[in-house]
Amino acid sequence: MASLILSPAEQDYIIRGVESGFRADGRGSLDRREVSLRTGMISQANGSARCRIGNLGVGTDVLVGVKAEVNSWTPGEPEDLGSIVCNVECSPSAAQEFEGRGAEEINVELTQLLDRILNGPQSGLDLKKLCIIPKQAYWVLHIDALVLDVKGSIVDTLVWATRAALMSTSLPRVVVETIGDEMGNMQAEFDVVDDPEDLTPLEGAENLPISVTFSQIGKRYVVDASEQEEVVTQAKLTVAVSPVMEICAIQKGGMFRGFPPSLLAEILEIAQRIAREELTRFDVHYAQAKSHLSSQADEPSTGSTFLVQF
Amino acid sequence: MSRQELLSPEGLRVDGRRANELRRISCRASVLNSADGSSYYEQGNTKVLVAVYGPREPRSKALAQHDQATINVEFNVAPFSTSERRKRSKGDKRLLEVASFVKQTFEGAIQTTVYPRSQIDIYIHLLQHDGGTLETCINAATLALVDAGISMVDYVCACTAGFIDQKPVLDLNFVEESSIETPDLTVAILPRSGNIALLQMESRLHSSKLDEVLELAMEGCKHIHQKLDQAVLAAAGDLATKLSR
Amino acid sequence: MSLNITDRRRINGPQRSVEPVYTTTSPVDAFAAGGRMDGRALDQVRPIFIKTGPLDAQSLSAAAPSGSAYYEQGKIRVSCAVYGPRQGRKSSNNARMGTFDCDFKYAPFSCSWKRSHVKTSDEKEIALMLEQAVAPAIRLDAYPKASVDAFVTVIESDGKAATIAAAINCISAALADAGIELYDSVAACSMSLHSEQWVSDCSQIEENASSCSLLVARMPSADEVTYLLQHGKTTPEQTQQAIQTCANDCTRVYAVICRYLQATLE
Repeated sequence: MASLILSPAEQDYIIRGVESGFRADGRGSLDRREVSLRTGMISQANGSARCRIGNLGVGTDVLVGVKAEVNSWTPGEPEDLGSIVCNVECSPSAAQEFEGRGAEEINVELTQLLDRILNGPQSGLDLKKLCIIPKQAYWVLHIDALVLDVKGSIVDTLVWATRAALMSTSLPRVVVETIGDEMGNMQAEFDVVDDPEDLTPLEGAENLPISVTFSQIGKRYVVDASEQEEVVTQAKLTVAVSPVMEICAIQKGGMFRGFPPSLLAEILEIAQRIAREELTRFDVHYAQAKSHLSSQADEPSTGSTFLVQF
Repeated sequence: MSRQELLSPEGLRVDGRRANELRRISCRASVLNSADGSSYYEQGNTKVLVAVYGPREPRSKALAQHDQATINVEFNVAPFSTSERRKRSKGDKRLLEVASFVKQTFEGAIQTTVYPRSQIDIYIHLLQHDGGTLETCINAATLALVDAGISMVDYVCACTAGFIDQKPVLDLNFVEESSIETPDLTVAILPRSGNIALLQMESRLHSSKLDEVLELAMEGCKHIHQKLDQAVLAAAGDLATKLSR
Repeated sequence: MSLNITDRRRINGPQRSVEPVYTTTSPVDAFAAGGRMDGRALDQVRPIFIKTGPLDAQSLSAAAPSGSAYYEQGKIRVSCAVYGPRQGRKSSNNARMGTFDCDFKYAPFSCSWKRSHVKTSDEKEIALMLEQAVAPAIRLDAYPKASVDAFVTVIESDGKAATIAAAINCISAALADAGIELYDSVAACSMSLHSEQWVSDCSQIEENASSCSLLVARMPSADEVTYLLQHGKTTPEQTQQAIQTCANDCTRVYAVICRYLQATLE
């Protein structure tokens, strides 16, 4: 983040390196860093995940908890849809300037971006399935992300963690009954089954998009920029791509430059290829996280990722 | 609210513990790589993550004290931590109060005069809430401060105790502490000297019972001290094997 | 004492209000017939009106902005005031460059529902978007330690993406009016997708019926896309096509802005 200050010589080293296809940490311009992913560490949430993107155990670290709540419908809201509410909070442990109200601006930016990716048909989630009774009650999925550490590529880490958290989310079963009153009107009522065993996984979570962020440095661009590279980044472009290779959201970031159209076309092309690779990588990591969780199920500890090396 | 049976005739509590039993404690130091010191601490279902930075240059010159370090505590409750989702604002008085209790407790335990003109930041995240917020925060912060290598007089170990049905009980959970009739005493001690660093209670308890309850809480603190000590040794052992590799 | 402090300075409407339901024809029918509700062609941008300097000082007043502009595009009305370059407020850690700050506010009466006079998070985000879209055009290295501030007020909005585009165009005109050194003016344009068909510059009703909206801000002479935002799902080919079309629209909008700015000089 902004707390890192690089000298002009260091900046020049990174820019020229990127322009000639080398990066300070030895990666190629389209290589991503290692990912660590765990799910299900917060038992009070309906789904949770922690994701860290970074080499050698140092990287951007995001914890996401998904909580489902039943809301009653008020006029003006969509009649037969559930809803998703995102909230991203950057902890001061990520950077000192996030203390107090210092993180407000970045929180708003990330919250709105996550909302743009998730809240709507582009997310792949069937919001109609989250409706319990039309014009009466629906599920709200509160997605709360806590950013514990920032070492570059915060949006991608956030989307990874959110995707994993939503895939591990399961909702309690709801019983809907239709009762006719004395006037002959049919009245629908529902009951949330309060049984921790009787849960159904969230449908459509595997259709969620994955995001790829490109950082323009000098005349070229890199994927998954490190903390040092973000200092010299002139413009960023986040592209969210769904598993069927549809583009779900695009957002430009960065204050210093724009993208020449030729570069833009190239980036959109490459975004699809990288997204495909990232989705395969995600599936591998998610399966690992799942098996890790089930292997821990018998242990006395609640299987939190914080108690084992992450 | 109807009065809930907190202590069964057999002397068991809502979660099956006996009156003088602590919840299961698991903790670990060095859980975050970029912080100078960090710890994760869970006591029953209450889970806390602490990151410590410092001693470092104060954020603003006004915070610098010429003869000692400034301690800064930020307490943050994750919105998913409670059973009903609730997002608290940064200026929530209750959060500021907990932060200031933690700050005051450690001002006596950290050797602040060793680090003049510097600042020590303690960032606390409550990830899951099931009672005993203050005690877990203090215990977790102790572990993180030790992990950061900050000079302290001693560990600070905290524990709660209450009084249910004429019987002192140790380490209250959320159900027990939110019952109106249960007094909830939090005590933090420096285990070697036995000095009390913090004593806090917001409800009514007959003065003749105070000694009994305090005694039990301090007994709990000593057990927690052992647990923290083990975690510190484990972290040190871990570091030693990494260095010798 | 009640915990809720009521606002006595403004005339507040009721706590809850529901907008009246009007009978409207769906824009989808019009698209099917190959036209639009307001009679435009699918690729036609609403007529634009610009005027610079509506807020400029009549007399020498300290509070007067250094440049301002008023912009209309169909029903959308936006005004913008630019202050600066002036002494930077916060001690920025990058003193070699100036800073560009933007403030964005929907007037309470600007939408079909009553908006709060308190700034909401989407207004904060739009402010950030505007900064990111316009800042690449400003020669910030010419103003070390200084700040340029733009204050945008939406008087009437019609379509979220189109309103943001209008705000970008309005800031560009106001920056030129203030005499800030620019590489190029930024022009912006938006589109929405209606069943495989891209429609330029959509109104609110049209945008509500669409599955995806796209916003492009561009510096046509420098040929750089300074902002790109897509909200909704498309195929990559559709996105490419839309960026291309939007870029052409931007050039047309740019021509309108430039012609006006030139005329004011003569």
